[in-house]
Amino acid sequence: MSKEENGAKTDSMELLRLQAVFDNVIDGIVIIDEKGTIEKVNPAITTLFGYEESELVGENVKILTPNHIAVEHDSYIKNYLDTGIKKIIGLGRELEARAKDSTPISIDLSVSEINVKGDRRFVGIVRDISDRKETDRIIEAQQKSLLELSTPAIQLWDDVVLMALVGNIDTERAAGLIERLLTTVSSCEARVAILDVTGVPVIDTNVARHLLKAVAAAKMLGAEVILTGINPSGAQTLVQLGIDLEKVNTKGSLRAGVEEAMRITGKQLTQT
Amino acid sequence: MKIPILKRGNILLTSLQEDLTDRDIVDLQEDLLDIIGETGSTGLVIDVTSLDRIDSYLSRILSQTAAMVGVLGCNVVISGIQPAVAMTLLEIGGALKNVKTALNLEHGIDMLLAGTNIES
Repeated sequence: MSKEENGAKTDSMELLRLQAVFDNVIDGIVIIDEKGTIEKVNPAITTLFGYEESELVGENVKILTPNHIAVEHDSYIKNYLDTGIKKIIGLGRELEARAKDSTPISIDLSVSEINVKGDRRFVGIVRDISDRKETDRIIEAQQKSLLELSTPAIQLWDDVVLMALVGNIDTERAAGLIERLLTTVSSCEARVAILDVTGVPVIDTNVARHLLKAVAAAKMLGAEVILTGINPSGAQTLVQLGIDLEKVNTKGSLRAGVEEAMRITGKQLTQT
Repeated sequence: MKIPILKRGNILLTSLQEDLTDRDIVDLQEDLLDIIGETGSTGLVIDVTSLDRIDSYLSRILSQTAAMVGVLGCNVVISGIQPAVAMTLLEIGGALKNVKTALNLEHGIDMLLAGTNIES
């Protein structure tokens, strides 16, 4: 076998390999020309969109996009060809595509420009992210329901209310907590509110800010707040952050807090 | 509209209503100072139970009044701040400064009579 033949054989082997890659990758590949006409799609595309290859080749790529994108698509290409400003080429973005049966598909599209001897084409790589979107949606919903997990304010004694905080406190949750605390203080006519933070994992500037807000709000209603259960490392952080809890009545444990509440309301705990 | 100021022993009572104008509250401030000057009352309860909102102006005037009255040797308690009002005041940063607060009129009077107060 001559050297040339050998080279040609390697080339065709290489082509076959590339073709095999094109046919077998999980992501969809669409190649369009400068007018937006589809020249080539790989099997991943036909599977994802539900079209036959023959139904797509020769069609404008708009067939794969939802209508609101379709009406703009020609101008997208034209803009790029006129101005050279890349809005999507070389980048990826999440958008919605349209399957044959019109169902929307969430995809991540990245477009590259290829130029073979002056012949310009655009290559779109399409990744189906419906599952990821669904997971995102579930995570979001769960976060929300976690937020809604109520932290009850309990009437501990005639004019003492207890609220035990568990979990992280962010701005959204804090607003709900403060509201519930105030409503309970008001409806129970409480003079003392015990805010127990034993279950709050990290006490940082933000959490401290929310706690101080709760204290200030309860005081406006005329109730004194006792803050209990700040752990040693929490105390360390608060002082290091320069957060002033001087004006807040803090007690180490819930037990000490209850004792203090009883003292304030003029009751006495006796052990028998 | 004149806001009535009631007297019970050494304690004065007044209640703010919803349809309060800026003018009314300034008048009230003057009336309170006059009456305390005349009678030498040692306690004042301003009840705001029926207010759904307290704006920054009103909260400033209330804090101011408390300070002025304090100079005259009279303790002030603001009673009946609604939960929603407290939240709004916090949001606008208009928390009533250095004013004693009570849950309701009864508590307010009790506080003044007992002389044990909760500082806000």
